[in-house]
Amino acid sequence: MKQQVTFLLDNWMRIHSEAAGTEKALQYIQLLQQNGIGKNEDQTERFFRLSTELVVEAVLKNAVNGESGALKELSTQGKALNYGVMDAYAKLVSLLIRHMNGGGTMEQVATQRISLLNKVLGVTVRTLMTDYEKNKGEGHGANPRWDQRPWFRLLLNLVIDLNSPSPSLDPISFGILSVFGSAFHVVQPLVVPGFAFAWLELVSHRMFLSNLLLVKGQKGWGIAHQLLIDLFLFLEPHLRKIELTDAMKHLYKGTLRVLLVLLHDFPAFLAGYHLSFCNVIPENCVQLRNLVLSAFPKGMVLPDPFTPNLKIDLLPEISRSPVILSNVTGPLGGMRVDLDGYLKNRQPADFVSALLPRLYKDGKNEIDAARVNSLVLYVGIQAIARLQNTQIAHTLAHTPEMEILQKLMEFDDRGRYISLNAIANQLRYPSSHTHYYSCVMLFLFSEASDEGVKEQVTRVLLERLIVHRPHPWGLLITFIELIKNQRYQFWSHPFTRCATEIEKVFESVARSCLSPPSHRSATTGGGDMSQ
Amino acid sequence: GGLSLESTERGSRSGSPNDSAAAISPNQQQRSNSVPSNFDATASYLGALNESFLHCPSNADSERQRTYTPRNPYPTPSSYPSVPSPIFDNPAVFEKLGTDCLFFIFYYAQGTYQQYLAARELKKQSWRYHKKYMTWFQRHEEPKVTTDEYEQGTYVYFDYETGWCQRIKSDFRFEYSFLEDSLH
Repeated sequence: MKQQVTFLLDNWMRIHSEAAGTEKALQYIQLLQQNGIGKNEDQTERFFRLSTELVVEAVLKNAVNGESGALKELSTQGKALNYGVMDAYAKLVSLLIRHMNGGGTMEQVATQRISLLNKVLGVTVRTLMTDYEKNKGEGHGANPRWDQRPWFRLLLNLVIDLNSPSPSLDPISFGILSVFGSAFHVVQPLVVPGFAFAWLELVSHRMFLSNLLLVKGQKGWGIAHQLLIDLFLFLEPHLRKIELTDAMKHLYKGTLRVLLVLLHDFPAFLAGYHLSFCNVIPENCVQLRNLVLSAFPKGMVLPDPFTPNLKIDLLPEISRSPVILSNVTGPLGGMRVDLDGYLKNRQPADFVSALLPRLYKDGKNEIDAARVNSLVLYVGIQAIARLQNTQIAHTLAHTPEMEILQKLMEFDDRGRYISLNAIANQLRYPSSHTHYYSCVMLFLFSEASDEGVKEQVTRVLLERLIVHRPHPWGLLITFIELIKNQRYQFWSHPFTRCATEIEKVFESVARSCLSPPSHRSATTGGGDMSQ
Repeated sequence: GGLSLESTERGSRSGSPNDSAAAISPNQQQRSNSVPSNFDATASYLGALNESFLHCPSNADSERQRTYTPRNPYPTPSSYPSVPSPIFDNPAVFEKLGTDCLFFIFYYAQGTYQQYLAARELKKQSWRYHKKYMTWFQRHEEPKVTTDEYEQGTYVYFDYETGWCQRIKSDFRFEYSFLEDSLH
């Protein structure tokens, strides 16, 4: 079989080099199909697996010949691989898919094409993973054996070929994108870390990610969300630790760029999934999270937060709820029933007093931040429904929602930090949520008898503002209100003067917040991301 | 051996990486079980990521291969360039080329990106293509007559058939139905 495949491929290379895309090439495709490729399951599977192995081997052999072993540099810059064979093979695959036609209605043919692509990509990623496992660890460090590039080239070729506009594929373009999405999900960095850089390049490629997000009816958003979550989950434990290797720094930088592109082109996508993104971005990644939280729907104009006497209560936007695409109630799990009961008629009565232990991960002495995030958002949504048409600031107190949020302040420092972050995550563009949580944050500050709570509220707000732009609009509004409004007696608290460095930070932030320079654009999101 | 992308939301971190890979195939399930569930073993991830970084795809890895096949090969000295310079893929270069050169590319490099770029540049310089005569025209003066269907006046045109030069034609009627306007 291997000999046969080699023979077939050799033939194809010759035809391809002479006359790509012509009559002869099409005849060849028909010949392959007559031999069962694309129709007979086993035959097809074997053909694609052996072909992939052969072309990857060929590309790598080319590279090895080009290097003088001893002087081999560790960097791959300037050491180009010869992809001729790979490109020809990719062309063959995409022609096979384009011309797949097992008869039947147009819809049936479309399904056949999608299922052939599914098969090809399935074989490709499985072969990739087997190859990776085989070569992993051999010659660790100095002479890494596994090279992701031939695989990258193969997948990239297919992404470009099959997502370019063409009459035969346009009707199934979403199907094609989802099959690619599934394949990328399978080889995510947590599963094949050696493929991480190629993976990010593929996932963020304009022919994939932008096309996916542009599909009508936001049908592709779920897939894009899943892949970004895959990326964050890989980064999370490493970003949480402060030490970062060079490679990790580069991957992080790449992630930042992808997010910047998304913030510029698809802000509603980032904004819609802010809850689940914040669940997987560690608390210490302030800028990464600010990028997500600064996103606001295109076309919205945010009032300058430095306008003197800006009254957030009077903005028309604050009666509108933001679009939440993440699953809010999922992480609440079994708590949901009791929570609903308590919000409705304060039953079970001991709900609040027994709340904190239920926010830990099962069997672990670790707070489930995702559950806290969901709890905070869910409680707020219920509170807003309750408080509709009333003056929020005067009616916050003594509601079951506020009791729950205040209870969170009885956590230890770590738990309180997570809870306050969950609240600060809702301080975004003008909306009913931003308004409500801004009031909550200020209320928690003013009602706290514990100086520690006030200090932590300040910390959570301040640490999101001393980083580089963008800064979420609601966050600025809340902080400005805190330091400006006399009722909070902000400057009388000892923590504002506990160290000269901190005092200086406060002064400079206060200066920039209280006396707005003329050319300032503090919030950036949507269309204004010129840095 | 199909693929499936879980559409389930991952609100909580407890779902993942293990769950996500599990649905794929027995072969990979085995693999994903070996993924440590707590991240003490970050070293192995960092090592692998480092290897990925060493073979990080560069721009060259995503660019299309340039394959050039001469249309009518002829033995030329080996010191002559054997493939066209990549500079001709850069639209900016076409702004610097003279009109004659743009006409040469237009009539000689049929069906190529370069032909498109040459035509685009000619259009920018107020030349208009006449589909019937396959000839480029430029107004020599304001047209004497202008209607919805045509304009009439004195034009400069490029004679590609007999003289390879620009000539003047007075009293020419340019029917708009022959005006090529699909190119932007």
